[in-house]
Amino acid sequence: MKNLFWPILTVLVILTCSASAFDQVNISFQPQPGTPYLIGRPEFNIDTEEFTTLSLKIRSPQGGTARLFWATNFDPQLNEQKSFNFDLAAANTPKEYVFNLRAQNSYWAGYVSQLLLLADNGAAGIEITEARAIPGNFWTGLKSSWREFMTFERPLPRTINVIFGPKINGQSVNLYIYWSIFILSVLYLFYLIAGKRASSAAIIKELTAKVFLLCLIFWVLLDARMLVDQFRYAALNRQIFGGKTLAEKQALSTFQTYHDFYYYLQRCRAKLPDRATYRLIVPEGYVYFREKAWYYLYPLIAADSPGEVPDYLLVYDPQKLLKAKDIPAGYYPLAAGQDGGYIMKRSGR
Amino acid sequence: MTIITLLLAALFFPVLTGLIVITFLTPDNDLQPLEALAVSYGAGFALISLLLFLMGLFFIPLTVLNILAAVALLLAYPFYICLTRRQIFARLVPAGLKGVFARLKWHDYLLILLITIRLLLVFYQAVVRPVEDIDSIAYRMMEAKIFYTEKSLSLNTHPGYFIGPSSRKNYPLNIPIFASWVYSALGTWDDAIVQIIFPAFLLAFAVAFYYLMRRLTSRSASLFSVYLLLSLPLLIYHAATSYIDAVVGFYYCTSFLYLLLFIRDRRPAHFIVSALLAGGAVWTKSEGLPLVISNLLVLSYFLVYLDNSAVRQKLFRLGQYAAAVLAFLLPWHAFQFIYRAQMPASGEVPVFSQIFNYYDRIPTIIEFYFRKALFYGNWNIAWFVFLVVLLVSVAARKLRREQWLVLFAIILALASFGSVYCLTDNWQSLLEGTVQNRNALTFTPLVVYFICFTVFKGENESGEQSVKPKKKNAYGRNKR
Repeated sequence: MKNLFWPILTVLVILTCSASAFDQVNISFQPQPGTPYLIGRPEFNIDTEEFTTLSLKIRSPQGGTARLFWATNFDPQLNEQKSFNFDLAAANTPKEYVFNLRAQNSYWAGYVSQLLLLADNGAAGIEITEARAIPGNFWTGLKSSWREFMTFERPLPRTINVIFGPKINGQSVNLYIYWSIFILSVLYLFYLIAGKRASSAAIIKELTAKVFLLCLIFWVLLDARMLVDQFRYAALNRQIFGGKTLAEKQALSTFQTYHDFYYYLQRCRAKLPDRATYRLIVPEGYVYFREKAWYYLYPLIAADSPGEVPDYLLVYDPQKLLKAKDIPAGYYPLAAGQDGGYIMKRSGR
Repeated sequence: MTIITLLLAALFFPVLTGLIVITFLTPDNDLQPLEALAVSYGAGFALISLLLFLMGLFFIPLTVLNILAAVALLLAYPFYICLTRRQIFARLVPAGLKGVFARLKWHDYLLILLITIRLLLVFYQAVVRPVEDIDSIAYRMMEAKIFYTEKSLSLNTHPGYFIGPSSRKNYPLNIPIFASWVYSALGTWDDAIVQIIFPAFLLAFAVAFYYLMRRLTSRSASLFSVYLLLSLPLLIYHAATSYIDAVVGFYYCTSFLYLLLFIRDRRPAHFIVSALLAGGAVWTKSEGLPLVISNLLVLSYFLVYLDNSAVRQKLFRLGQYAAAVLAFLLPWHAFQFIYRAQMPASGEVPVFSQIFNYYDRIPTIIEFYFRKALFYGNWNIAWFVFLVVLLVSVAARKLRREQWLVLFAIILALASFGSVYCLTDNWQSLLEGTVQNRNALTFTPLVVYFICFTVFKGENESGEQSVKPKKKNAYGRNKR
């Protein structure tokens, strides 16, 4: 039996090492030429039950935000619900990012077959030197929670009506604050009961004061966190709009993807006489282009009501999605531009 | 003149107007200098835009010269009276500033620093970007551009341009008209810099809130209260955009709090300020009207149960308040009544027929209130603390009359908006999450006031009102 000790121990060590070698799934991220994203392929499908955490070492010459998507064998599409945002720090040496996805996103489920990293400022220069899915532990959970808590929630124009606030493990931080206040209050109550022989009225009075104090402390702490985001938002606005002319600012605020639309409108404004009537023709799904045209083109008058015959058609179709039937008859092209927009005038005018 | 000088002049114009009107209407000097400037901004803003609206209705071109002439004509006599009383100078000369920085402690400086940083951030955010949100464009800034371009109200009934190209024509015109005044004063259409009018409301709110709290508690606690008010993330965010819910919040909350102050100390200045600001609330957004009804109910309660004056005087007082509100409300509604016939039918559904059809929506509405108030980042933890404070106060049977009145206003606001969600198309907007937080913005500052009142008001103070006006203390206000 004694002789078997070392062979058995050796076998156990080998098995343990082998097991630990499979305690992570390596992922290889490769840039796709001409696209703003990197595709990540795991060495084998990631079992999300076991591998709850993702660790990425990213070298990014420029900061900004990034979104990580994943596809599972149940839902092979890369879509928004199976994704999350995070802040990408500008770093010339690889920086580690740890995400406890099991806790943060309920769609980290099943077997993950592919990942995709989309950087808002483009993938140029971004390199993921090491990527692995791991089971996660207390330390990675802590790192992930802190990163999630400090993630910059940038308000988007259409989400102006809500601020979601910081989260930890996918839950509002408010929830943790409420529990903390409750637990600390109960503990303090026990302390008062056990430590002092005061009357119940005095205990309640002191407890009340401490609960108020706790509430205000957490209020101030959470405000400090929100102030960080307000500074970030101001810095972002400074980066985008600072030092620009009004026209440049208006262009930048007019649909990020299509801010040449603003210059197209300026061209129309310059070419058309005041009070001329026009109708904007845009492909289906170009939401709010009409309102922007109304705003920037005034005192040109939009004639959008059924039955109205405008003097001009303003056609904006950068993706060439419009069909011939979308353009009313009786107009001829007046001026075309390189921005996918052109002006048509009513025949006989 | 540089654009900054013109901008400051454009913003000082409502302050001066409000100051003259308030001073003229209230012979007693019951407002601190900075406080008077703050409430004058809101009151003057609404008064000027109302005047411009009336000028537009009478086809008087809205040029800078005409506007200045009209204001000068209307304010000449009040200004003369103020001069003879030497009040206007007493308010403009910063005598009250002398004591502001005296005896400040280190934590006061810290709080002032935090408040200043917050306000500077909001001002910067507001003016660095042009107007970009579609609702702001469709309901306000398009109209402002039309008024500025046409130098009139544009009564052209073309579907797109009858008071702006929006489908919803029932938004009062306080903000668009005033924005057009700023464009006129600047001599250019700059929709980035014009947005300074919105954080200016936040600044006015902070100053007014400070003095409202200062009458109750120490300087440090008052500063901390202002800090708490400015820590409401959605308020801060909205104050830097051309959405107007934060403006309604300023008008409504300050009008309500000055009404409470009037109930406490019976000073006419506080009554006048409350009435003018309540008028501003209804003249800014339709939502202002149901909110201001709580002011009228609270005033009625005061007159019936707490005021010892004769019935005729009570009715006169109530009539004064209602008249101030109606002065802002009626021209707009008369205008709508006259011109609506020329506009396309709005397709509104009479809501009273639906009262019993949609009661099953009520639990969902309550759930939305609960979730949005407690588990989102909109309000920090203000609603939670409010519930804790309320629970403790009720349990200890220490809820004072002023707290009951604030609680009443909050519940009435919740019920008003809740009924709108329940009975109208706003139900869909509630589910989409586009309106509820914004609506809550109009009254959530009262939640902060409730908390600060409860936590910081001294234990030795009764909080109850005496019928007689209080004597003045060293602070220059009412001794309690």
